[in-house]
Amino acid sequence: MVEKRTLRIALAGNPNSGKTSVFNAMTGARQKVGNWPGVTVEKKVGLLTRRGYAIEITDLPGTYSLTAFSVEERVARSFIVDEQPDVVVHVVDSGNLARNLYLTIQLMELGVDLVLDLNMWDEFEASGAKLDLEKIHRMIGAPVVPTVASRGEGIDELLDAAIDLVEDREEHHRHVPISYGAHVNDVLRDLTDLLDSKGMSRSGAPTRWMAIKLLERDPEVIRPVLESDAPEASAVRDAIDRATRHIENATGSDAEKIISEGRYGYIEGALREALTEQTTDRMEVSRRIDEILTNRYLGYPVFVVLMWILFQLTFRVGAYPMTWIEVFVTWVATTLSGMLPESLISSLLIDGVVGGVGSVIVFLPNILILFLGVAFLEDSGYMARGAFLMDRLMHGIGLHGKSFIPMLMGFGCTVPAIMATRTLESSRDRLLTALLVPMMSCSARLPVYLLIAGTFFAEHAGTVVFALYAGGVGVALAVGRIFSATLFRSSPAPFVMELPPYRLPTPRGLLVHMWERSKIYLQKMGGIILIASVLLWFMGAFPRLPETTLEYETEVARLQSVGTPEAIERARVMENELEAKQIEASYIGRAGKLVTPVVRPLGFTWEMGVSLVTGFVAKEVIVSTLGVLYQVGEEEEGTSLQQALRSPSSGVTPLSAFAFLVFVLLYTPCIAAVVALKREVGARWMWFSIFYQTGLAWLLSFGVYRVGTLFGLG
Amino acid sequence: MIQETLPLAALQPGEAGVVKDVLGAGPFRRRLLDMGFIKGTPVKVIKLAPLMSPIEYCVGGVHVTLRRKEAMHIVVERRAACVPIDQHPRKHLRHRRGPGTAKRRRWWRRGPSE
Repeated sequence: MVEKRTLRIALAGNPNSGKTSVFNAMTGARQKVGNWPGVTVEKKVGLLTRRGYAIEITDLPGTYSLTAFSVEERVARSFIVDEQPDVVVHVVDSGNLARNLYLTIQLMELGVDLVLDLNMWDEFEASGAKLDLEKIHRMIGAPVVPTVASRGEGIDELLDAAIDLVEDREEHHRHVPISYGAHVNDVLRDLTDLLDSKGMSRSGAPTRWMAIKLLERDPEVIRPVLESDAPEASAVRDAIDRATRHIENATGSDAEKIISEGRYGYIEGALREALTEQTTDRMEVSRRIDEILTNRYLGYPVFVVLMWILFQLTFRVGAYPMTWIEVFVTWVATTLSGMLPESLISSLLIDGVVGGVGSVIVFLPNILILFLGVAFLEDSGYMARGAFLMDRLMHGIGLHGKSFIPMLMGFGCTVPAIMATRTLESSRDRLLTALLVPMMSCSARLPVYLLIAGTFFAEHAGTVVFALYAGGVGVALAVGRIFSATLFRSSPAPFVMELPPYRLPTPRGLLVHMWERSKIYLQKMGGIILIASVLLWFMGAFPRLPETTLEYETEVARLQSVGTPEAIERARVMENELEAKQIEASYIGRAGKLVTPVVRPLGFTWEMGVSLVTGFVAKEVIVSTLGVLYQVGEEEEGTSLQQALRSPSSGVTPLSAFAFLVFVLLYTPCIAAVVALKREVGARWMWFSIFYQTGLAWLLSFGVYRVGTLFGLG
Repeated sequence: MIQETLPLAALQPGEAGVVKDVLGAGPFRRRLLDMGFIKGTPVKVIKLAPLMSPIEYCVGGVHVTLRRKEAMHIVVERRAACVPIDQHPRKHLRHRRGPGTAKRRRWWRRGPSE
């Protein structure tokens, strides 16, 4: 009985090389999606068994290179160096060998056991090109396997090649050092010898690689040498300085450039021997499509139409299943309340748990549709074109062209919008976008605007609502500029983006992508949202007021038994009063009263203060809370609430109402969005988002209220 | 034929050149090098985005976008395009002046370096 051995494979490759398809074809649905520790870069791990091996496949972030300049490259590199996977499978776009093999060379220099996966082999053959696999195999020193991952072809052979490599590594593993020209070669040899003699190699990486990185002045490799006090380090420092000077004097160039040129030179030489150029240009069709899609005049109209369709599909079409879910949840709640005797437990079950589950799955239709759409845009290649069109506008606030989609989705719902920031490649862009998305006024804020604007600015309600939406965008522009000039200044990532050829997405690929995102939502966020909802329900329902309740209920019962219209009306008023007393006494009501002194300078009443706290559950709850607190009943929010707000006894003036709208627009996102933020950018930035937004909301509301008061509008 | 060196951003759509040098330093230059902007590589301007930036280039057979400001850091030598623009196989593309030429400069464009 042979023990089941484990085999760890890392998947490396350029973005757009079809790495994700390879990963999905290998692992199917058995994937774990999470983040790399400490950074907001997605980590995917898949498990499978083959030939008696338990294989664990780690999908590294898509990178073009292995420098330490971007988080993605650092993550990929440190996984290879520190975790030492048994085999690295490098997924290569066969139609774009020169640029893809650049990463291969860096993997070779890292001394890993490498398998080269020539993906999209069907397109390559269809283009009429020929590649001598044997020659490539010899030059790279690694097994070469052609695959068509989108159809699952060649995946078994790829896994077999990886296993073969582990079982008899002698046969395959041959390190072929790249020549960088006489000067650099000499310097590298000396530096390598020095490192070897001083015993300063980094575990898991060959000393020649380390010497190359030192010459390139790679921050991660050189820092320990620069900071160390040891005599060996100072010898290495001197050697690096000497070498750098020598190279500059001898070649008139610098090591970094010569090394890059050397790698491309090696690839060019290898391809000259092994590759017969393709007869058709694979970009030809894409160029013609682009004559319309990125056309000077048609580009934007087409983009706007596509985005409009995506938005409508997500939020209009998505509204139908959302209604079904709401109907279903209400049905479950009423059925349960009919079956269970009225008690605290049943209230917890019905209002807390059922309501909480409802608040989790109600977002699911939006998320499914949005990510199906996003997967289509990405897999087809249009996403890069959209970014190309939008970059000039988005760059103004320090964002990437691709930030446009999350920002747009923010007008529908902040939760899927924050999740959509995953489409951005650099973690800096992802973070900044996620921080700005909540400024886009989501659809849950609209009922609040309609109520308040309709009550106090009936003549100009449309203008006020529009001003709020525009104001959110304006604030996002300003905040984006400020953040990218301060917090995110140190990231000058250029907009070097590849425009891949257009491809027809496969249904399988689209569904896998869609499901991946939705699974993250259900598994990683659903639970927290559920717990938070139950907690907030608890805070709204407790502590109970048994005596007052009893008193009121007896009186209501008495009035109802009288049965005259006046008595019935009086009973209804008393029920509302009880409800208001209950929420006022609850923990959430107390919290609301606690914040009232803070929002008093903005002209808010304590009812408004409480509603802002309950609005953390979901923004539209503000309306029903105001309804309860102004004692018009939760059901009749319409005109009677407007009348109650308008009456002088409410303490709300048009000016304080407007300040309130500004506050609602900007203050902390709802609990579900906060959970999404924590999931995507981490707890630290989640807190940052909560505090800066609430602070900003306070400041701007204060400004509006005080300036308005000065002009006598109060 | 006179060969002059100029920043990549100065090439017009349809024009081609060969990379001579990449200026700048640090992560920025590194990324350009990694993406294949290497001395001796042929590069061709495909098109400008409707707002003049970014610009789509074909470098070593791959289509890549750069912002105008970033394309200023790449020094190229002008070469005749594989297909001269006035002999383009598709007639309607001949003689088309690319956007972003001096005559088309608009008031919202900031400086000559933009």
